[in-house]
Amino acid sequence: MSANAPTADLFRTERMRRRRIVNAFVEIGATVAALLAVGVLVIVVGSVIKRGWGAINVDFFTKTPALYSGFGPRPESGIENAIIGTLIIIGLALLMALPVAVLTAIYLNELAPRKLAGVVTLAFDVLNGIPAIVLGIFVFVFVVVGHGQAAWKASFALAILMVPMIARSTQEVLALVPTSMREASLALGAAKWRTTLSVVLPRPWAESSPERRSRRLARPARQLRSSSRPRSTATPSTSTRRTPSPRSRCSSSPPPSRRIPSSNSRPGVRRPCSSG
Amino acid sequence: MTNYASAIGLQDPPERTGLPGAIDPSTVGVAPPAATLARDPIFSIEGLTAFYGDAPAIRDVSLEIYQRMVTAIIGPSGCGKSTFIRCLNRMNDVVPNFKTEGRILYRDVDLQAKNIDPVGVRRRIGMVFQRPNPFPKSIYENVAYGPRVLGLKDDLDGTVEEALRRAALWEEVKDRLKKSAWSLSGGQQQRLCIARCLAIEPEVILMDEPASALDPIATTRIEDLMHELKRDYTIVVVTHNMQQAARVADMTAFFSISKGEEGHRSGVLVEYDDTKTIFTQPKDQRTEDYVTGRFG
Repeated sequence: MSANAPTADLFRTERMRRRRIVNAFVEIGATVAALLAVGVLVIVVGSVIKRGWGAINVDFFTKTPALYSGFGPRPESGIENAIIGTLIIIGLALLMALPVAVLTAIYLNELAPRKLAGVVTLAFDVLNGIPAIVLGIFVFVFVVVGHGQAAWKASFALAILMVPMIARSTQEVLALVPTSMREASLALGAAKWRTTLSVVLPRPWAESSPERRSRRLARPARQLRSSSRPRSTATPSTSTRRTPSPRSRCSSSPPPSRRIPSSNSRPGVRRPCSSG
Repeated sequence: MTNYASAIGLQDPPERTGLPGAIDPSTVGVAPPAATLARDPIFSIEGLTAFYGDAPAIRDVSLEIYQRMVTAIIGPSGCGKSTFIRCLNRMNDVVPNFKTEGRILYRDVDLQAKNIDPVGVRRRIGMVFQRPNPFPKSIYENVAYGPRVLGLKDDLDGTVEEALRRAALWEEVKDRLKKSAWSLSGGQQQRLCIARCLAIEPEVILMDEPASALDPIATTRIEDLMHELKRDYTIVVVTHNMQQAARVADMTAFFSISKGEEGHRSGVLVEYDDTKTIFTQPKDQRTEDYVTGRFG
């Protein structure tokens, strides 16, 4: 590149063309890869809908599977038991897992010494990596074999699976509550448990309600924290959370307000302050 | 000496002196000399050294803070102004590895003593932070939070209105108390935080650079408010804005950074006196350099 003309590097050169080609190549590759991935999904879902649509009717949801001997017309059959079973098992599992997981997250984020929190967090991440089938067999061997089957036993297995997942995502959400909120509450003479209960815990929920989200757009930009937030694992407790868009700046002109009369000791000489 | 005063804007601009009601130009714009007010110590800090881990953030600070006055803490960044003010209501308790030596006597009670409940301390000694930090609740709920937490539920509406009035915010928000506090402007949010603090009727209000995130108009309002509030409250304000200290404070403490014996850089109290003395006749060379803008 000649250093003679200050505008020399504005013109197209051979090197630039090679860059454009590489760029186009990568863009096309990425697009094709994305299309392939979505394409497989479309084929699977499409095929299921196409072939299974005819089987969907009221009976499908309200009848249990009928025994089919293989002869004659197929009897009316449904998946009612699966639906109800799922509801029972998930419901019980949530009852078991949610309180434990949320309280654990609060402990880890608000109370635990940092080192201990790190260890427990790591343990949870490891637990998160255990395949469901391993936990299933574990519970089956220790609770089911020789004791008979029960819905709560399935729920128990599921709860073990859920606790680390919910705890970790709750922990992540709690960590996003700014320290200033905790300090504000503490400075008002609120005890720690009170702060956790009425400021730290409600906040992620407040964040996720659409009404608040729209209001937040009117928030001053200086409160803008990192606009990227860790994606939450989809758990029942936190799946409503969404990644907020970067907040917009609000107009900075304050509305007219009542001026306080200056006290006599201090005649109202005011100057805009400049920072010292 | 007059050079310093005019350099930092202590003196009235000439065109203003002719205004009706103008008084002696040398005192206009400055809080009245603290000597004219009764000096009634509410805090006596004796040899306070505060550590984060092993490194002292402030070293051997001793001063008295007087009741119903505005005391400003000025100094360069990192000199421990915020650390100091946060010691006064035990806000540093939440910081891991924080410890203090020396005594902080509040009405002759050592706030660091083992049998002191930090929650009780913070109820008497309120705090306003650098950035407005209203809760993501309605305006009303923000102010009502403190009284609710403390179980003062009688006439909550009255308490909220009174606090908002004192913070000079009532007229602006009375028709939208149920709106989110985050819909307010930055200056309004800060006054809301002051109202929230007033609602629990503290004796002392600590302000940690309350106006540094605000525009000049909002800053003016906060400063007016401080003048208004010092009739009933003791105010300690940290500021890095010297004009602000000159405008609002009766007493000013200048902190600076110095190197200790072990080589740690930590904040020390250089000079503490009437605001006017600090800005016009500082005894210490470092203070003089700072207030005249030669340093920091």
